[in-house]
Amino acid sequence: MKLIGKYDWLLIVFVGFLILITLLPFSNGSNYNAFVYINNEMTYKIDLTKDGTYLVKEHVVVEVKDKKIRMKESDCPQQLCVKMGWISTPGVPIVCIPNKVMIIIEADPNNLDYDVITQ
Amino acid sequence: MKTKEITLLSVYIAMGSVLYFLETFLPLPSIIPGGRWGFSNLVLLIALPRFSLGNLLFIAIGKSTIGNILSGRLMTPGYVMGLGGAMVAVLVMWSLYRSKKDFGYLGISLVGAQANNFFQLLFAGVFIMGTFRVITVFPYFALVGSISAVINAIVAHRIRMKSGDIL
Amino acid sequence: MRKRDSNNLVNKVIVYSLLLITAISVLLYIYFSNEKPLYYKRTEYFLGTYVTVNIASEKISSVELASSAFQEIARIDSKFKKNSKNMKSINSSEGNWVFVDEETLSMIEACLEVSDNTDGAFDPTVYRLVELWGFASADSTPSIPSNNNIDEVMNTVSYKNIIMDKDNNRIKLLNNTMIDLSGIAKGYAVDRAIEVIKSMDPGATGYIDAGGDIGIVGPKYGERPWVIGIRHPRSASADNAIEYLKMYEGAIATSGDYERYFIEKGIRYHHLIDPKTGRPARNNTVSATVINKSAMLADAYATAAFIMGKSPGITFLPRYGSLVLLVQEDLSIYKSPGIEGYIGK
Repeated sequence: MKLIGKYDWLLIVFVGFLILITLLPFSNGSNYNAFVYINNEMTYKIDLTKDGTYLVKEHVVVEVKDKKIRMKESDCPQQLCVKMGWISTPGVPIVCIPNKVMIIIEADPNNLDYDVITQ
Repeated sequence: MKTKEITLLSVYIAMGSVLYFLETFLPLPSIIPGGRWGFSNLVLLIALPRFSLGNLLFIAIGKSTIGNILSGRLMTPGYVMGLGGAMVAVLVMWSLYRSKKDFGYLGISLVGAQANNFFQLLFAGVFIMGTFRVITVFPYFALVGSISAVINAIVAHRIRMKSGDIL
Repeated sequence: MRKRDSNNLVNKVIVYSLLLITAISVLLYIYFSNEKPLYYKRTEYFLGTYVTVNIASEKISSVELASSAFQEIARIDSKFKKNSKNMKSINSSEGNWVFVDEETLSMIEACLEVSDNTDGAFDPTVYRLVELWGFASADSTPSIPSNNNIDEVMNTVSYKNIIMDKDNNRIKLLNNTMIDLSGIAKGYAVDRAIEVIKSMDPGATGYIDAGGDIGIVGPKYGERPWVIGIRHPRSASADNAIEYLKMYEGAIATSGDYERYFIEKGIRYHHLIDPKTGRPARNNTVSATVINKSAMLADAYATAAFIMGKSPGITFLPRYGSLVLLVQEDLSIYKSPGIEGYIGK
């Protein structure tokens, strides 16, 4: 066997192609999502680049607008989750304790001037 | 099995395990624990034209197992990754070699290294990290693996030319 | 002969240029991809809030580290939550001695120390008041209690009602007082989870965030600080920061009047009840952040700092290892001397 065979360029191109493919952003569409956890289970993945409102649980409505997300409506007594307002970074999740709903944003590496929020 | 074949197989496994062991001392900035350069695949490359598929797999299993015993990592996820990766690499390289197309050491070594990487990342993704997203680090491992693959190809070619029937 | 030579030369050129290209691309790739998070991050619901573990290790699978951390957090959650067997046995002791284990005892001891150091601004027995105001549970609807009710409950509230007999591992509660450790348990869980991670891999890096009580496991990528944003107390977005602190180690916690509150007739009533007045602390402070080496102490001192406000007492806190940052109603900021070194992003 020779060091470099006649068809080795085929294999080299194939490997290069493989590397290129995996270098492309891996995921369908947007890289900027929010995850809705209900009872500690990841239940919904919401694309933050598309505006809209979502009913994630009975009486619990989540709204997405301009790459931000908020709890729009919830039937909990203190409305703490609604009062948290809009979030757009992974620094702090929105939590609705009575409904056991948690909204966490996936890191958008371009939009981080801190790692985590103390509150 | 002929005596000569048994002797040769043990020589290959010995060389492979030592390379596998020494490789653990080579620094590799790695995201995933157990990432390695892949220089021990050199013995598989040298052995490729000489042995049957069964014997090649035997060398792959032998070098991963003994190499991991030497470095004290037997039965860790790293071992399973290394073992599976080496076996997948053997399967791919052997099929390329047997395809009767004019492939050289360089091409076969490159593709073999990538097959090895791909399996290891897939394994790490599914069984250790629980997500396919690790595949995004494939380019990094593929490039590192390509360096060692090219070196492996040159060395294997030389050794094969000079050793004749000895190895 | 000549043909073979030139063939060799071509081969060599191809091989070496391939090597060169791969080497350069590896360097470029490492250079540009170093920023990519190598961290494993998991958020779960515990201790009445979210708990995030963000961890990286070069030795052990970070998934394994996170799982062990969550195991420890779950243990502490079930041991110190309001209705746990452990807490019930203490709070139903009706003035008799009750035996407690070392862990509970050391937590109560830490609480009493903070209470002493802050002249009762932090008080582990304030729970009855918080409950009276309706802030004890997220399921209840808070409202303003009558003055009579407040006075009645005030009689049971004081950390001085906790009598500790350390030698015999027992405590006694006087005047029908009640201890609640579920608040401070958040910080304690962070401290313990970090210990668990460090025992598995002393070189692990990352942070643990239990509802804003943040403990640093190790610097980002082993060399850079974690940038902690202090929540803007009056922003419409919960993830808006008013100030940034850089931390390599230690812990940080914040108490704010935006966490649990209701507004009646234009007045904000929040959950940080002053044990001395029985009413939400009102001293112009809207959020208090404390840096301490322990997350549990940071949490306790942050509560105290909020209730003390910008008073002479606050200047004593650095003595107890706590650096303070207060945000006032007009959004001006008071800082303990020594905290400047942390400011920045």
